[in-house]
Amino acid sequence: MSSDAQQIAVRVQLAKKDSHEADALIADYMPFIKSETAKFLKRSPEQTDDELSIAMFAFYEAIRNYSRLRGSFLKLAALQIRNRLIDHYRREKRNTGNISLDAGDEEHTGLLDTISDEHNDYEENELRNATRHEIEELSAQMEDFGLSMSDIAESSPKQNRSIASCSAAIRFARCNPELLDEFLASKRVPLAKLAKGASVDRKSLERHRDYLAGVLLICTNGYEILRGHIMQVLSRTNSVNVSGREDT
Amino acid sequence: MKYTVMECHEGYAVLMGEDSRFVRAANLHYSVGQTVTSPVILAEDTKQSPISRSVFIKIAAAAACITLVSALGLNYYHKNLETRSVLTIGSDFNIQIELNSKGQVIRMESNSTDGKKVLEHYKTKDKNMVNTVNDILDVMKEEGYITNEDTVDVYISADSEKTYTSYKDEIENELSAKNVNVSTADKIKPQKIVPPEPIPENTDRMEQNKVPPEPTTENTENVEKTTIHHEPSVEKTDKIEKPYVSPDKNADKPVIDNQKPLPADPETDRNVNKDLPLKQLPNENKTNPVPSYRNEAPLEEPHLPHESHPQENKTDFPPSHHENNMRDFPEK
Repeated sequence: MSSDAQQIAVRVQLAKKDSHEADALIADYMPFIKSETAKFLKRSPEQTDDELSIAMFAFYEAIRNYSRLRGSFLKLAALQIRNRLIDHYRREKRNTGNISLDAGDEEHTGLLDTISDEHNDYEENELRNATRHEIEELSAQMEDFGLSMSDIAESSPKQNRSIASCSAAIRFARCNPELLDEFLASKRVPLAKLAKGASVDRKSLERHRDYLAGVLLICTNGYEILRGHIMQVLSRTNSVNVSGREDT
Repeated sequence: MKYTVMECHEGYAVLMGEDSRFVRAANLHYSVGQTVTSPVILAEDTKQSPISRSVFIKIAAAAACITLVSALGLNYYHKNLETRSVLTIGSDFNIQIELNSKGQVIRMESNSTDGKKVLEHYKTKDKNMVNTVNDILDVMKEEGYITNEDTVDVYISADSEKTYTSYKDEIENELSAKNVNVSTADKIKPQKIVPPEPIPENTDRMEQNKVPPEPTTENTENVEKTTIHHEPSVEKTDKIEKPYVSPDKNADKPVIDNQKPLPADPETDRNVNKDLPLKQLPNENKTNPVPSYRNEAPLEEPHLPHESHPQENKTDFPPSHHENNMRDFPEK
């Protein structure tokens, strides 16, 4: 293995654990990503092309999946980019019969301009700004807890059973504000009390400690918009049991 | 499902779904706080199947290992432990030596007492077939079952002609110093007990539906049964209730119990007691008081009907020819 390949492998290993290192690696290999996208598109990609975003995402996926046993990283990344672009192409092909709202005639009047808009753009912008403000505030508070959004996404439950267990624990904490106060004061998730109170296995909660910390922070005062987004989980009482099966 | 964009990175974005899950997805020019509906989610953040890929690989590897071990074990069994040929030493001893495909001795057994004693004294446990036969012959000599002049038969039952020939040549060459006759068993393959064919359940119905076969000359029972209905025979008289005979001094002369009804003669419709001793004809053998009429020509009509009526015997039994002869015999 050459020195360049070894250097890439080392950087990839670091990027697996650190999201900032991953961003830096993607930025450094942007020409490679563009060249692979150009091979697929048969043209040079523009910065606004979705294909380029998909290719960058595929490169990040290659970082996540890489191991030294799989040989050269760049070959793996090229294969991953090509596969993702093919998937994206097939997905877009399914919508070929649909006309985009942005598509317009020669006078540059799009379909979006012809239909009546019941939404208020001003309110939407206000809501988006408020949401962004909440998220920034949440991110700042997470830093105090030593968390990042990527960490929460990393420890987020995937299977229905795990989601049900975590949701039960979150609902129990929301019904018991003293647990949230204890969490904010000690900056530790009270796993034992949550597991006992929600009647779930403690080990299943321990695997998702960071995720629980992030959602418990959302459940505290100050994040109404985010709490409203996940309200269906927080207000659900018996619709999902711990075994992960939804009641009919 | 709607997702809120929580964080944007160079290559991806962190989204929060309505089910409170956090996922990483392709950053299609998203901005923080935006709500998206159909993102391209990272494969490892999607819902995983109950059997993940690594677990599936482990299960497949374990299954492959089990299959391999089973195949090897089966192959080993077929080569080393399965009986392919049988040598039988001596018809009296009936020592059976089972051999595998390599010609090695798997086990030995005998169902005769002498054979079992020989095997008890055989301690060598050599796997070589010729050595085993040689050792067993030596044990027989030591125990005095055979001498040098005796000839021992060795029967070979092999699974193929080639194996049979090789075993035969080997035994004949190696044991040439001893008087050993080598011959094949009934079959080339080892003998197996063939179970009897099961009788179909519906045979009774089939027999009922079938027309009964006509009696042949070989089927004597059918012949006898059919003749019973047409003419009286001894067999039929056996079934008739025997009259009571008192065990008194007149034991030689049976006393007939008149109270009991007598069977009817099918020809004459009269009651007949066939158990009564028939009056012998002059030329008949006296030592045989009850002659058997089976498979013989029917008796002459004039003698039997009169003699077989007990009531007539008592009352007005006509004198027989013999009595008449006796009467006419001149007194000395």
